[in-house]
Amino acid sequence: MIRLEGVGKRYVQRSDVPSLLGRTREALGTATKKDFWALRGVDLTVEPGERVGVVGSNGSGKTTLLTLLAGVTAPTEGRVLVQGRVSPLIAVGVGFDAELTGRENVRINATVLGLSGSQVDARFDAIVDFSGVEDFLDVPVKFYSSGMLVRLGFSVATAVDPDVLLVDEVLGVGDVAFQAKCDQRMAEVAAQGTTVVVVSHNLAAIRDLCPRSLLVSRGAVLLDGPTPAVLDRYLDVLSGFDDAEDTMPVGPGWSVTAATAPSGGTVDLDVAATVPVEGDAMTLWVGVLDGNGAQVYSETIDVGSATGPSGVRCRVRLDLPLSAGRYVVHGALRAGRGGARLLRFVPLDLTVTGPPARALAVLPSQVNS
Amino acid sequence: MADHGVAAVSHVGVDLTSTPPPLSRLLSDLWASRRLAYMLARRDFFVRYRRARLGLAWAVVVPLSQALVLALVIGRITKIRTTGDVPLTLFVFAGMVAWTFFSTAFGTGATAIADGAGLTTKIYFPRAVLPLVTVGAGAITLALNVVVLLVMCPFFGVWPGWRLLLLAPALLLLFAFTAGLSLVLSAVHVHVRDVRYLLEAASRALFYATPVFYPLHQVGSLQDVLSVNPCTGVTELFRAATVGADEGWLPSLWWSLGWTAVILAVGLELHRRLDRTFSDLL
Repeated sequence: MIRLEGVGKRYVQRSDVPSLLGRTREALGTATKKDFWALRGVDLTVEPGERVGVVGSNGSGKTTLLTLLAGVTAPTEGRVLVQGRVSPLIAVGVGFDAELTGRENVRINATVLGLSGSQVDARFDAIVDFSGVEDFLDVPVKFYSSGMLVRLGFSVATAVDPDVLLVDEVLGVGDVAFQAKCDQRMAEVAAQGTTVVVVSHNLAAIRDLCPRSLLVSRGAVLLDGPTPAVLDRYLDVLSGFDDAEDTMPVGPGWSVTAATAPSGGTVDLDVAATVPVEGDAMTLWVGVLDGNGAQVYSETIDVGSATGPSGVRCRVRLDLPLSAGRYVVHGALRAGRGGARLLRFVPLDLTVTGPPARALAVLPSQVNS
Repeated sequence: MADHGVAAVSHVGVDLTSTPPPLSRLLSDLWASRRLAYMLARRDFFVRYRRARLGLAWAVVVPLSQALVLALVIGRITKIRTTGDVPLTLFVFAGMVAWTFFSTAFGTGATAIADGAGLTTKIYFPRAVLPLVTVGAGAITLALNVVVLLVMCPFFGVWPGWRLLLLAPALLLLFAFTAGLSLVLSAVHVHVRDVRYLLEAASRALFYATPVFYPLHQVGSLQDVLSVNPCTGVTELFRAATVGADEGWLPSLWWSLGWTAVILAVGLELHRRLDRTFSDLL
């Protein structure tokens, strides 16, 4: 079980590593030292076996939250309570010492996590086998690629039967084969009743794994609830609709549907709003997120010509040179360019088919001779 | 949940507020981390020597060669002479064995927490493990050197005899003092990174202020001052246990014991307070 009571974490911003001169100047009050709260006023309860996703923009406090849950750092205020064995933060650069070999790091990590010598021996082969780095076991991990590090870290963290598994931005890294293994292992872990907290920009992964999610923004939990609703709100934040008064639920009689498009093809959005729309200069703002949550497309389209007294009805054709993969299309109807959002539409899943992706976009080329 | 067996860290789970836990908690966590400490120490030691051609031999060759050079120079150009029949080379080597142990351990111990950032920013274990591990890794070198020193003694016509009974307390003091200082320095270093440079400068001064290559009673009126130096009593007790003590060394031992108690207490208190916030600065 996880319980956070009024938790806040304050960091000191310094321009440099702490030094004698810097410390003296801080003491004299002549140095620039700024405090900032990476997290503040967080109350949270996660029941055993729950799987919770954490989303939020960069610097919102997601990783600070995991660092506190891992017990790596103490809160500045409030109380952090985690019952059971907590796995390390699995992140790029997992708790590994760069100078040590993969073998030594696996043993050390497993020991810190509470395995006895014989337990480590018993699970060692399985850990290595899963990570797929057996050929580099006796090489210091500083020579590992970041993918190898994550794979090895993921293997150790999930092999120790943690009660609480903390995962930071590693779902969706590595090649397709390892991703599949990861997904399977995460499903196994979840089936065992392990409490899982996942930080990820990969919204698809969070949607698959976590029934419940938190939206973290500027050091506070903005929303805590069922994943679909939280992701919806997160997409709003990403779109710049951050302020509460700007939020308006999807109205009745309003729909947008998207057609499946082939690679490098087109997306047709059928926009139909039968609610009264004030003003005539309507725009449709559309954003497209890739599987990692990165916005790959953002455009404001003038649909003023399709606006009538009873609403908007039009088909918007987007020529998106996207490579094969899963995307999310989201957006809203606005009064004028950059104006207040009037209506947003339910995010649509978009699957672009075609040969395996080698790049983000499929751009046209032309040979002149 | 499955049976987890014996946990390496006694507290399974996390219960944290801004108030640091009591000292007993730090000590029990440290004790629970002993297997981790052993693994890290063993690896530290092998990393230090396995890449060199002579390997382990360097652990002995370095202090021995330094002792030989010092003895040669001092014997020729100074009036420093040992009392009794202890040859200067053996006398200086005994001092160098102790000195090498603690100077190496301070140096690596001070930066241990900062150097371990790869581990400490992602997983929790008491950070005091890291400086203590450097002391432990040095202990293997120390053991080798003590054996070589004791083997050398008969060849130089020195029989330690009953003095060897002092070896256990001598090594204990050496460990306690070095461990305490490593705890203090490693904690301070995270907050003030120039500690390592201060230490380099101080180490040289300390070397001359410690009776490593001269007997304590030969410095005349300075003897009382040098006795206050915490390294003096530690070195003297070690010499008393092997090649024989200098005259009038006992006051330095009381000073060292006092210093060691204070430094250990300060070191543990610093770690108790700062343990969970070190990673914020790494």
